[in-house]
Amino acid sequence: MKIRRLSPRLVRRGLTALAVLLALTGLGFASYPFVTDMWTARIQHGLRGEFTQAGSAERYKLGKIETGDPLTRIQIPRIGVDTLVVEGTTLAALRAGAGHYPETPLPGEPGNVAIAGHRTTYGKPFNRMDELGPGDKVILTTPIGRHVYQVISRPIVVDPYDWSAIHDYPKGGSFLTLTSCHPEGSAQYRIVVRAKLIESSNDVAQKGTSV
Amino acid sequence: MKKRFAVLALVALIGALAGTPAGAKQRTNFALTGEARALEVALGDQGVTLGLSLTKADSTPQVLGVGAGQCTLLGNDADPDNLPCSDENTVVTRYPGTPGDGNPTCSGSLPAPLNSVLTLRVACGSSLSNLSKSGLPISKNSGKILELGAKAPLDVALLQSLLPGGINQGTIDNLVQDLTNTLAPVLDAAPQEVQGALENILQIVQGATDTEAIKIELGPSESNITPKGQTVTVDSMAAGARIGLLGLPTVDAQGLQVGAADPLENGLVIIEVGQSRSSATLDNVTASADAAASAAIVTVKVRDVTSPTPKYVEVSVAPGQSVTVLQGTPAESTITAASSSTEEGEGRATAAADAVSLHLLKGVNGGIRLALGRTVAGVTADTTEETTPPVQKKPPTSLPVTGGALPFGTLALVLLVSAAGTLVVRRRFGDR
Repeated sequence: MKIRRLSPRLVRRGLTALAVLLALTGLGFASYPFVTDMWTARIQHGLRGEFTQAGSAERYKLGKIETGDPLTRIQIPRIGVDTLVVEGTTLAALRAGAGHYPETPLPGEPGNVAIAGHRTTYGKPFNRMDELGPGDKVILTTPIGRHVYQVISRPIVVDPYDWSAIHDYPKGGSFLTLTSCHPEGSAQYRIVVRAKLIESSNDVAQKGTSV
Repeated sequence: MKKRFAVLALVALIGALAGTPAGAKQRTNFALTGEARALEVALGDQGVTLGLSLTKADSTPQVLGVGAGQCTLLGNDADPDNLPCSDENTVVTRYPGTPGDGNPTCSGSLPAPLNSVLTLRVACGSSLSNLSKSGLPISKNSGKILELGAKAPLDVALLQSLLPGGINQGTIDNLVQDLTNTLAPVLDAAPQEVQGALENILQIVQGATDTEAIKIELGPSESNITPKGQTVTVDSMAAGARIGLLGLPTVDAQGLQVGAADPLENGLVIIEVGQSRSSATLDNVTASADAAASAAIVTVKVRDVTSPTPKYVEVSVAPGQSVTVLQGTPAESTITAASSSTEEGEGRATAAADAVSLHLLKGVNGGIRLALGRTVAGVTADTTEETTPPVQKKPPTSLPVTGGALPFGTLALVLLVSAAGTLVVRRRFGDR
């Protein structure tokens, strides 16, 4: 059987195509975090409009916040966080940067409010979460109220399937739990910070919640 | 020929990038342990371990670190998960769990009745346990105390406990005679000269209130796990100590006191214990291990009491050997230097430096027993072949995923380098 040799021209073309493919894929990977950041910035821009709409307070009171809708503004001065949190923690919802666990209470309510946020992509709002410590403030501003939580312990790292961080909390109190992936850029574990409600007011309803 | 070789190299590169080859994959299972104790003090039935650092990790991966300033006297096999250490100066970190930040937690108090005899300035513990970017354990742990001393002044601690009937000139004379007989040969001086100097010093000591029987200056203990490339090293270190016995004031030619009676500056005996270290290293790829240990070097210095300024005669203690100083006097003290050992086998290595053991002031209520600078480090490793991915029983859902599963930066770099390599190969074809 005679094996036909490839012509040098054909090999050159093939190699050119391969180099272009590898380079484009490499650039794609390199730019992925920046692209997601831009995407999230665009989503956040849209959410700001929705959050400050006249009807947002009414929808919030009636519990008509759908997955992906803005739920609360979260501010953590210690690590420079100021972003809008959407309802839900699906992959699509979390493209907004941070999402509220739908099975947990709303901000300010008794129980454990839980919010998940990205660390390295999609605006990386919780990028510096590991720097939080006891005494740091977390402020949640909803269309009808402002709630100040105080971090009560250093961040802990848990198994990704360990829901005790969300379900186990001292009964009778109002808590906030922030979760994110750990280590940075990996989904191997989750890093968790627990805070306690120290101040709550519902007088910002009609004063607006400009963000 | 060159062209073929270039094409083969490119195909190999792409093959490597495309994913893991079919067939068995090797995984290294390992366990790492390290422990260092700066000082253990036993006084009668009571005892404390001061400056403890401990770490252990495995390939699960799990990491545990402990840095403790002060614990109840630990046995030979302390359980890292259940240590009797003071909450006020102990930090325990875990991964997964609380990785910690490495900041020290300090306090300074000894439990009764030790606190009636010994003074402890500040004890601190610090710890940090985490994973490196490559998934290997990291742990940094330290335990230390700033200064430890015997509270009672020399005349009370030494003489009264020895002489329940009270102190009189006769008993002091006997003590001076005992010390003279011991010190004269060591110092190579005339007994009359030594006796005269001692009598002079003891007269000053009896009137002093700040003379201490023992003072210990102690370095920290550290136990760390450090990954570097494909290796992980467990390193345990005790930084050593200086122990001063029987602080004697410095007197001038006229017999007047000119310096403070600090056991560490001008004690009758000063014992210097050097650093001890044990380390074990694992090669995570080959599952091989090796170990190294170095025991503390001990030097005993006996003060020349006939000299107006502090001057010492040095006695070296060889590893594993004992030296007794001030024999036959209430201040008789035995110092046993430590030895070190390593053991290596297939996939395992351990290193240990024994503690330097000191039995000081044997004539004072049985004396004080000290153990200094014990360090151990160990590694065990083996490999298992995974022909099929392990079946893991997982709960139905995880906490929300907010991090990537791929190392984007590394992948981007590898792909861009590969693209550049492909262009180089293409150019060779263009040259023809």
